[in-house]
Amino acid sequence: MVTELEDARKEAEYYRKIAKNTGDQFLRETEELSTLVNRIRGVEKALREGEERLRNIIEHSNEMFYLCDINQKFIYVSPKSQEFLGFKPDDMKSTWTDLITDNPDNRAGLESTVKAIESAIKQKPYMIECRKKDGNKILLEIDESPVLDEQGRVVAIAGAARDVTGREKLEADLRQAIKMEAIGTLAGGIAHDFNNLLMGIQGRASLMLMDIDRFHPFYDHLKGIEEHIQSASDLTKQLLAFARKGKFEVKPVDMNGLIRHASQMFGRTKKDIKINLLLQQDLWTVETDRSQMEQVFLNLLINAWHAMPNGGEIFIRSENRMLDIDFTHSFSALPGNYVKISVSDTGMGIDENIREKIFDPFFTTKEMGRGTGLGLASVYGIIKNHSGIIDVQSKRGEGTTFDIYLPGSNKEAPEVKRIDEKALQGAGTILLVDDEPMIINVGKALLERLGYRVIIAENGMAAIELYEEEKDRIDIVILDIIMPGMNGIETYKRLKKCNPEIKVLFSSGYSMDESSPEIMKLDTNGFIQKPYKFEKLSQKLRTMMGTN
Amino acid sequence: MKVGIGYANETDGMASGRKVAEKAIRDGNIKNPCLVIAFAGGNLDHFGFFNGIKSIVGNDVPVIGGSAIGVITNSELAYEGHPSVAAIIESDNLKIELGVAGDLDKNEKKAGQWLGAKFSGTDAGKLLLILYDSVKKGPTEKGPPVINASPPLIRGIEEKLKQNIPILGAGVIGDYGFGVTHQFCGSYVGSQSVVGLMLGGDFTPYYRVMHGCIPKDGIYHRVTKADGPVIYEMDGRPVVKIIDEQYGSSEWQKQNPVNRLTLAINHSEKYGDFLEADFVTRLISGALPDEKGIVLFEPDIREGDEVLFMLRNGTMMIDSVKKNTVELFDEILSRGEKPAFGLYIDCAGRTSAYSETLYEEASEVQQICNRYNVPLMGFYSGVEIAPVKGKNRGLDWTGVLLVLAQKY
Repeated sequence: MVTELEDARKEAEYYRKIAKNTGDQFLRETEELSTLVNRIRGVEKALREGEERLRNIIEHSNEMFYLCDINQKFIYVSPKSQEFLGFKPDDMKSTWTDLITDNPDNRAGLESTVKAIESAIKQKPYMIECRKKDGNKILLEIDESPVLDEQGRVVAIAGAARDVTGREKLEADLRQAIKMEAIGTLAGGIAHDFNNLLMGIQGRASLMLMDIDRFHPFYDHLKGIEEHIQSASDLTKQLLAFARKGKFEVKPVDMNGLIRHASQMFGRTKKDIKINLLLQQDLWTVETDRSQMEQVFLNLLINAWHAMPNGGEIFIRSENRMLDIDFTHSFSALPGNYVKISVSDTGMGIDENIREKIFDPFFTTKEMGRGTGLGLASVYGIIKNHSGIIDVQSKRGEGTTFDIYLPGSNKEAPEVKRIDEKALQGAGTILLVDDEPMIINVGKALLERLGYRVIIAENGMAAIELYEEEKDRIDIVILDIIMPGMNGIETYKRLKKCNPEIKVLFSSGYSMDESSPEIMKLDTNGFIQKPYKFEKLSQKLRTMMGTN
Repeated sequence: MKVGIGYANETDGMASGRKVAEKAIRDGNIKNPCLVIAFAGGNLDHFGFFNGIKSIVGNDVPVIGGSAIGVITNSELAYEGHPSVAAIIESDNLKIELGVAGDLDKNEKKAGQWLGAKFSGTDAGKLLLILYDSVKKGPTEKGPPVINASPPLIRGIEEKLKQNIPILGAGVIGDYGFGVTHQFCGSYVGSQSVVGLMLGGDFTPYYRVMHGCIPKDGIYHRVTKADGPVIYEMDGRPVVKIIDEQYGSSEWQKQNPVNRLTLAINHSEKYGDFLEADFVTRLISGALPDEKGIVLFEPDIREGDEVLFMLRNGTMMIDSVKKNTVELFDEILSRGEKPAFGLYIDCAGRTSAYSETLYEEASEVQQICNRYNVPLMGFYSGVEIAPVKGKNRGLDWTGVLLVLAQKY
């Protein structure tokens, strides 16, 4: 019995030890397993966080990412699809073919994808035009790369699509600006030389008219010549405006007043057109050349009138606008306060295919002889020259709206005074500096007819020498800006050193142009643009003499 | 009975409250709510959340519940971020009585007595649901957190009740760091409170306790030195030394609570077959910094008690949930009743993140509730309360599934 009990005790102890060891072993193993699981969880967490980061990048990127299988069917599309194409990723069409428009340029893009699949080589980015869910178009730049398996076989295509609809417009704007610049340089040069020629003709005509009365048989012919010179001068003015070489009297301008004045002038002669003004009160002023701005609105009104051969309505609206960089970026303009002026007509509208050409100089849809093709080109040049923005919206048959944005100003606009022009006799000595013999001859004769004594200098150096010799006698210097050798600016600076109180009237066929922007900053006494009339010159001189 | 469940996971408390209430009303097509049971993640603004719910259901509808480490619905299971949930109940024949007692941290038994006294006039209750603050004191450098003990609380309640009814519920907890918790006390947000909801009327409560531990080696140890929740010695040896030997190192001492090892008292035959439902398990909160003893989650193991070391087992835990949930629903259906609402009170240690399982055991409950179209609301708790062997007990490392069923 004792032996049996002893055996049972030993057996119990035996099993107890086994149970304990097994339990302890199990505990240790599960603890190790637990550590391992925790490590795996750590890796999973890191993976999840990595995925989260990647998803954040993808979802907040400006690009739409996607993955296609080798049949070009979408396997994955990032949520940007909603913004770009109007489809949520789950509702996306299955291939690009289902999304593209019938634009023939799309074919090249799709072929590029096929090439990438066939060659396993990344192709150059391409553009495709797609139709959004709402029917609108979007231009996408596609950058695709083949995804390879371990054997180097293409198993998918990974791509990124970028909305370049805006960029295309920006590039088009830039191309337009470069083209305009080139044409402008050419047009400006022609206008300059042409103005000099006109100055000669104008001068001669003025001199002849001084010697005859209105009953003379040539009087009407000479007046006719003056009118043609005026028309030719207007033409060069348009050319110079387009070439952005005509902004010379910048002052704060009340645009509402200017619009009212321009529309009244225009409306008086165009009775079949109704002009509606919707002008914001307390409109900011715009620092601009008033005559150029009048030219802008006159051209836009004429353009609208031509678009409505059977009459119609024109709406001119003005308002203050704060433009942010999102808006101004595509126009290469700065954000800030702008005065927006919209000129809308109810006319025939502009075809989409010619819309981007309308600001080109000499582009016209009008029959030969009805338009020069310089109206809208000069509008474009003037607005750009004022750091402004011009945009056009038009649909065939639905009218056209030109939106103009000009930098707003807080400065108060001075009152506008309109002066009658008549020739005023004067007295004193004038140093006339010009490299053109034709201008010298005509100018000298005109000035002498006005009662002035005239000294001639054919270049800058000669002018300085003469002035140093006779500065006590010379009252005013009429100085050409564009001259070979020492130009007008340099000459002016030298003369100014000689006599800080010197009175100088600048003259140019260019106006105060881009080639001499320094003039705008100089303390000058005045400027007169060739071809100038006898009367205008006489008034300028009298003002400078202080005897007006 | 109509029940709607709403879930949210948003940082703004007020917005979360409004959202869960609006969703629950829509989900259950609720017209006249009579009760809201709601839980919010510990880092959500509980006052805003409570007010958000009230702004939708009105001030007359009681809102009970409180903090939770995570929440469970038929389709959601979340313990990250700012999860929150609400169940809104509409019923003409559900009898609801609400009681609240405070100062739990001062004396659990008195708080229990105070709460029990509120229901002493009731003899038609079928179930008492209690939700109380688990955390008496957060962890400090000197030791692990101290929790409000469930045994004296339950005894206090039972002493004052007229009838022996099942008490189910939870000690609520808002985060694994044992931070401050809140309770929704019907019309206000409290702390160190116990909220009781006596439910009577035309329904039957069904419940099951899910386990997940097995005896490590089946060896009984006698507790030879203990004081409250701290055990110092077993079989005359320092308990920390005994556990060091089992692990083969002292690394486990860094764990709060201890991950794999628990203690249990077997309430059935000592050397009989292992019946999980007869074991009351206690989590080990951690070792004392001086290594002189271990702190248990509840202070109900005393000197002289025989205990076994248990191993937490993920596979067994999931099997237990599946088996018990299926059996519970089979029981309800076999009695010709229709399950109307499921409440799953799940120990926060049972999340897959804490128990190193590959998937969530609560998803088993979700699947089965979804199979029967039963609205489910669950939350992760500190302590679970449910009857074991006919006696209401505080439990650790369990899941308690309560289903209210009605006759067809």
